[in-house]
Amino acid sequence: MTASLDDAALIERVVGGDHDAFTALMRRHQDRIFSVCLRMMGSRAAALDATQETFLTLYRKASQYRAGAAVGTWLYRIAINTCYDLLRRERRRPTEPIPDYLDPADPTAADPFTSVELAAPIAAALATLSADFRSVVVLSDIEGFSLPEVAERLDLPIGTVKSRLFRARRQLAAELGNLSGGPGHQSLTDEL
Amino acid sequence: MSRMNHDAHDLELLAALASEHEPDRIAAETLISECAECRALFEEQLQLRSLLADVGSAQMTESERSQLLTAVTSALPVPIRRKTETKPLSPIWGRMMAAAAALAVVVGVGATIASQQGSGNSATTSLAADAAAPEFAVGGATSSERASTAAASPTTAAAATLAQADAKGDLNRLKAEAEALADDSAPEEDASVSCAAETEDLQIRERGGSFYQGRQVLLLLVEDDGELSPRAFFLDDCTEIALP
Repeated sequence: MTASLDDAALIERVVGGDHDAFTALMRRHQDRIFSVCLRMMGSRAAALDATQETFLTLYRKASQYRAGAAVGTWLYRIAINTCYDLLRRERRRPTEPIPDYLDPADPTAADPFTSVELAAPIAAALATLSADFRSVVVLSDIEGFSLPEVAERLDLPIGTVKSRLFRARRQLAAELGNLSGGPGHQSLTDEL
Repeated sequence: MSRMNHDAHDLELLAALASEHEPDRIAAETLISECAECRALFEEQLQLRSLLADVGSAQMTESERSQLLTAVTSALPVPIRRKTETKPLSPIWGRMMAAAAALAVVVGVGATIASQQGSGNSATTSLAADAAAPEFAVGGATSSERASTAAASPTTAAAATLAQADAKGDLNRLKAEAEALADDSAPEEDASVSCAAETEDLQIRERGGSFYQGRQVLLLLVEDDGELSPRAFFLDDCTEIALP
């Protein structure tokens, strides 16, 4: 029954301590949140941790949800902030995460092996970006949100989003060129 | 626009155009049509965007989904309890309570007989009522015993005031004891929580036992809206003691 309720109604029930409503909400959003966390964190294990922390935060802060706002947008914001926190903690206590390309291939991809091969240099290049830049690139270019949607999810002015996006793409271009030994931003697709 | 002016160009427009952000389209198109460097940068932005779009969204595997569900649901707080479970009295407490009740009955009957024989006075009743107190007394006389003794003395008023002061001191002691429960790492004392749980939703963090006015007292450290506060109840009739 809870599965048929919209996000706002589910949140209302979560505030009342309804675990079923919370589970329904989680099932609805978990893949998208995991995807963002994976691109932000760089490994599936870390992404799973971040996704878990995101939903626990959602549960704890459910009472702060303002009716009328989109739950999905709010959830993305929590996820990105969770990733920032985890990345900060990781920086203080450096570990060696298993790179994404060593994780099991995405079983849903049409051609998992091609997808994984392509992801390796991109994941490595993404990892060189600061968390602020990475979040903009992930939401805009990988997850496909429009600039106003990215601004809303990151709670940033749209001008800041444009500026970060421009600089992040430039840095990625340079990184991808360097990774393949090629010259900067020239012929990126050829290099990959 | 000449190449010389490139440094002054609004390069964010190029990122916006590559992202198909409509409000910036005309200004950005003008820029790339008039500045070769801007045009190259725009191409780079487009290439990157297309490359990243190919990566696309990731999906969880079934095992990751079930791992997440298990991890999250096991970390969720238990729903707020409406009633605290009643814990039965331990055999030791049970025996003490039974002995105290029996003694009170015996003394009460004796006092009634004495008063019927005309030899009784108010002091007898008072003493009879207090007779059960030593059963609970820990480390000397209780404040109620002291109050009774004082009432029988010639300096009644002064003694009563003293007894009240003692009672206040005991209340403060009770409160201090209850608050100390928060830091107490020793195993919980075996005390019934049935009194407090009868009528209220208490989130009990710690509990312990003590004595006040010769009666067994249940001390609780309860959480309300995230704040801890001490509460005390007489165990025999469940009345709450107002702590200072």
